[in-house]
Amino acid sequence: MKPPILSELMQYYDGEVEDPVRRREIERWLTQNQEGRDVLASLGGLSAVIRDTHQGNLPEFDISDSVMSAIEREPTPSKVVPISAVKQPTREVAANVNRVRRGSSSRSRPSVVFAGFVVLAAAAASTLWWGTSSWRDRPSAHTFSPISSIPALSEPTAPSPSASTDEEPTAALSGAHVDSVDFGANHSGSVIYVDGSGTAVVWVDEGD
Amino acid sequence: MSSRRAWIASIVGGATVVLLAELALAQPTPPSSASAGPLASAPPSSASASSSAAPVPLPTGAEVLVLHANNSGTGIDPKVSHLTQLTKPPLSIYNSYKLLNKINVPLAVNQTAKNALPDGSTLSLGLNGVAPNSQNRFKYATSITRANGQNLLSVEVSSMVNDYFFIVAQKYKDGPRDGTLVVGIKLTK
Repeated sequence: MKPPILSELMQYYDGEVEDPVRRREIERWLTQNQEGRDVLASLGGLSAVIRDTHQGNLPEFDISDSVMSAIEREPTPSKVVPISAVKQPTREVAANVNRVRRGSSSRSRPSVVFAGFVVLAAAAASTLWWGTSSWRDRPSAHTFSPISSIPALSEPTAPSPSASTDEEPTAALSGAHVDSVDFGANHSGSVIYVDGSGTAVVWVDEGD
Repeated sequence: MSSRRAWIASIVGGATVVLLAELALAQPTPPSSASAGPLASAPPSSASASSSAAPVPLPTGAEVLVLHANNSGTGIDPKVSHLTQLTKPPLSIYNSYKLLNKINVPLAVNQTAKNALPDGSTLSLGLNGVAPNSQNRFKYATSITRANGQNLLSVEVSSMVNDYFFIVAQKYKDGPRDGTLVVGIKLTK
């Protein structure tokens, strides 16, 4: 006998297998196959979800409320769990998922399925929102932050020898601005802007 | 049966729509050439800028202040007390400034004026013209050449008239006092 495929099982559940011979084959197969019976049971759970959804019998589920209540129930901060210790709980979760898939409880399964659907929808919506807002809030590639701070000097030594005229302060446009500087082959120096005035100071290093 | 199929189909369809919308939104819109940033809008040259506008009166000279700076505690020479920049970082690292010389240098475009500094070096000044995209800022070049012919520095500056620019140049002993030569330059009309 050819084992039924999922769609056939669904048709059987709905009473839509018209061929009596095939229907008997499926019934015979179900008596011998636990997995098939589990699938059939899960179809029953799914039907319950659909029925409850249409009739509005599902309890209200608010993901934010559930998260907040879970946080409030948490007496102490979460512990840091080493990665190696995470593996075992993961197996437990997988086992729980398998148990749910097998439909051992037809009443708990619909709420889990529905909650999962709500979580997926919320995740998709938040991904959409984040995607659009990140592009909207992203600064333009041509946005530059001018450097306006001037290093405070506490003792009479020459500033660090980094003569970079690319670091243009905002105030420089209202004063004298150094467009380029060449300290020659044997010298170095810096371009500094006087605090608050935009006045440029070219400081030659006296180290030579 | 049919209602369950419709339910599953609606879930799959909805997820597909969400994914497609997300993919479409994830594509960044390239900036059009018309709205390109500063890199694409190169400033016109001073020649083209000045050709479309009225001629800008150029500075006719520069004032050069030669100062001797140290920490002798004598304070700032009253002749340069108007230079508030001397009391602010980085120039405030010296508490005393003495005016050694004040030179009024005539300037003309593409001409270089040379003046001797107290330590034997030479200060050169040359006016280059109007700064790009500006009606009141001017470009000029200055350099200091030591007595031995060695180039100490060459600077190109853009500024408005009466805006000072300073060079803290080289060690200089003014009489018994050690110190540093500081040169202040501003364009004049």
